[in-house]
Amino acid sequence: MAQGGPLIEILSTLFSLMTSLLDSLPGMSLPVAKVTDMIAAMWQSESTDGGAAPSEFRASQMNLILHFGRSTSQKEALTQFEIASRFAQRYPCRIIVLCPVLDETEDYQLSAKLYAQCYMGESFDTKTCSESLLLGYSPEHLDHLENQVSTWLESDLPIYIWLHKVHASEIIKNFSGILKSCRRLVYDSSIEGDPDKAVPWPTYLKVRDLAYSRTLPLRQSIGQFLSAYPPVDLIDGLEEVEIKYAAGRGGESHGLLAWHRASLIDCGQKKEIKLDDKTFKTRLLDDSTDLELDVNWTYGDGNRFFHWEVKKGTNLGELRANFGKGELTFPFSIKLLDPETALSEALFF
Amino acid sequence: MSEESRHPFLQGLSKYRGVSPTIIVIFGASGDLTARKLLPAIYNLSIDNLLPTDFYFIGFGRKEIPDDDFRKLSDESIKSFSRSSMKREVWERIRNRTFYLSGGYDEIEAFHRLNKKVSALENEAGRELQLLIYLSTPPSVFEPILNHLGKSGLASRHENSQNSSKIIIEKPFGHDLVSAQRLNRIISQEISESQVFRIDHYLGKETVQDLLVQRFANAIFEPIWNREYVDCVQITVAEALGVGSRGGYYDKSGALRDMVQNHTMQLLSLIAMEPPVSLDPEAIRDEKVKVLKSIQPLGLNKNTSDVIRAQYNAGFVDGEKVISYLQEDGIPQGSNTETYASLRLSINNWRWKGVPFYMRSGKRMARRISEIAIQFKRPPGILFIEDDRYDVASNTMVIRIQPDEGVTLLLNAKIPGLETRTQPVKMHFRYATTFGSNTPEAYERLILDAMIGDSTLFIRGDETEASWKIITPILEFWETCGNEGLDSYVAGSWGPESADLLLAENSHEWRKAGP
Repeated sequence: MAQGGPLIEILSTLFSLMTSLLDSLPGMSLPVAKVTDMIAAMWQSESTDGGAAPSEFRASQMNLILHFGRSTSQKEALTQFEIASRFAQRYPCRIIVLCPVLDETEDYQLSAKLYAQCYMGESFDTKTCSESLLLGYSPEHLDHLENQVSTWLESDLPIYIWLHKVHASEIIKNFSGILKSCRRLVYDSSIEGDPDKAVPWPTYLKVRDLAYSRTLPLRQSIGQFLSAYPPVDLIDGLEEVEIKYAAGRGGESHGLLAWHRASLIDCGQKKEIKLDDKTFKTRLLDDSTDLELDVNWTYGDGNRFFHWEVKKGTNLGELRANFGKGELTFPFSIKLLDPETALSEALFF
Repeated sequence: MSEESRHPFLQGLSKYRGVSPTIIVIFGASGDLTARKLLPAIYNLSIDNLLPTDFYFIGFGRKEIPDDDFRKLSDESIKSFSRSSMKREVWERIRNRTFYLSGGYDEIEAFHRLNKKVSALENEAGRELQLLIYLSTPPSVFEPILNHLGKSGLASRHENSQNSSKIIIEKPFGHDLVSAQRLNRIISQEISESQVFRIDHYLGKETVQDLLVQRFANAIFEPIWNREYVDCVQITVAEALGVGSRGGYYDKSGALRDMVQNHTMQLLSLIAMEPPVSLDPEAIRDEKVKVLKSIQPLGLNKNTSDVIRAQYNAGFVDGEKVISYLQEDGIPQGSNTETYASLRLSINNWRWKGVPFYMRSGKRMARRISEIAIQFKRPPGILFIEDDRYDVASNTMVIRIQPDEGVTLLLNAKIPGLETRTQPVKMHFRYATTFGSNTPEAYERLILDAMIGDSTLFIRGDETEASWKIITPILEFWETCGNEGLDSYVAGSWGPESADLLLAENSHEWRKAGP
């Protein structure tokens, strides 16, 4: 954009406003009334050439509703859709993408696109195909959307919802039926903003944060390391736990801090050592640092400590500790989970 | 280990993500199994981030190989045989912690050297490391290895703790009942049963694990899983390949020892066992042993026998001409080793009394396939008496273990049209289609299970003995018969005619196994 000058920038913005999210995603446009028939036709159960029928390879374990909000950009929508598609290679599912269309006319109707992909396994026999239904909806008429979506869900299969920049209150108000049968709802606190803000999700709903799921390899490495020490040794004299994070890792740092707090409180249970909320802190790192996450435990005696850090863009980390038996240093190779693996972790585990 | 007894920093993590710091030592490290299966399995566990942060790998063998050469061999094996492509940054971490020690299996000094190396690595790590020893050697050296693991103290490291040494033993677990009992005695002298993991890679296959889920997580099957509704059960473990370069080994083994005593017996016990009281390893293995102990002694005489054996003649497999067993490399003239065996078993318990269980396994059969078929009784022929109009098949549930893993249910349906005509139809569930094909290899799952001390998918000592109690009398009977009763079959067929007659006695016939 920087090369094109102000005119191109203005034109591009205008174009972007005129083009809906739905237009920016792949698929074949079709009348909404034809969606059910078209899905059936796409996976007809008879072969036309004497080989395997298309239905032989069509698979689905679940429904995944990917719900975009008003401020989802085209680039973000495409990225999220690609993640969902890669996820469907490993966990075949019907993906229903809900795209807001900013049309405030009274007679606005739903619009639809259909998209299908097949993935080859090790052989032709392990080919897997699944479909995505993309719907353009008016945020002004959100109250009708749930009924419409329910007609395209695959019956008897579990439902999962993935939100992107959709306000929780709109979902709670307008999707109460689907939420009741929904197995899990996921969002990304590093995208959605302040993860500490309480969202009044219904109590029966299992809500998971993708930012926290991405930290699984970190929790695993730290957990395996710390589990070699008696819990009470970790908590005795502990004064402060601070997690510093680079911009864009706010969700991860809050999730890790909550995990540290829960585990350490548990470590202190038998000795009835109480930890104050003031013990746990997070702080945004300066842009100039090469660190992505940096954790420090400080003890009152000044000798013991626990420190680990992950360097930006390198997948390299280091863990240093002294719990009273001398200092240990471990370099380790670590990588936060990739988006589709984080999605499966959040949905299933 | 229950969630309450886990360390607070492991709670909430799957048990597979809380693996103790580990050193894996493979005996027979320069062998084929290590290159084709074990090293790729370790690498893939690392790719999936399932290895502990502190992980070391030591190869042990009789050949002298410098560390660097062993690392290069490991590189090659991963490039050639791993299901995931080589990622340098992942492999480099393990590679730098990979070592090789050479020594004789009967040389105690070599085991002391290994113990020293393990202690040095433990010092380097600054913490306790659990030792997982994998015996990937010929069974003839199990005894000296086990003895020296005991004498050198390697078997008793960190005894009675979570980090106690664990030993994986590859089959065969003996070659008859006496040798199996002897092996169990040697094992128990050096280590406790809870530290032993007898591996049968069949149990690591997703579809074999799915057997328990299909049976006990679906309420519709249990009420009909018995003599009231089941007509017969057929277990097929067939290979299209011949003996290839394994002629020398195979001729001493034969189909009964090589496949039936272990793989097919495992499948039978999982399909026929009672519901375990829990998913605890001992609860499941208790039920498997009970089934094996309920199997009636087989009828073994020269005229009417419950067992058929045969050898393949020349024939065609996959459109290519293939030679007979006796023409294969390393097979002595006049060998009477069976390349095919089929058995008719009766399980003498409340659930299965009167239901024949047929098992067959062989080389150079029509196709490579492993499956279990549960054939249900036909409905009373009142409405649809089988004739030209009504083709009514027995409902059959087929669980395919490999290839094309999945479940098929054979039902009868009306052919569309004005006249009522019936035809069998298949309902398919394909594992790879539904769940994707990128599932862990059996060895990955089993090595990880051993690292966390979960023995569910491993065979207990008394299971091997119970199985050999069924098989050994057959071997002894065949020994007395010499070549008499040894049938033959055309390579590329489904087995000898005598095997068809075995089922015909009960008005049954072998399925043409396949998808």
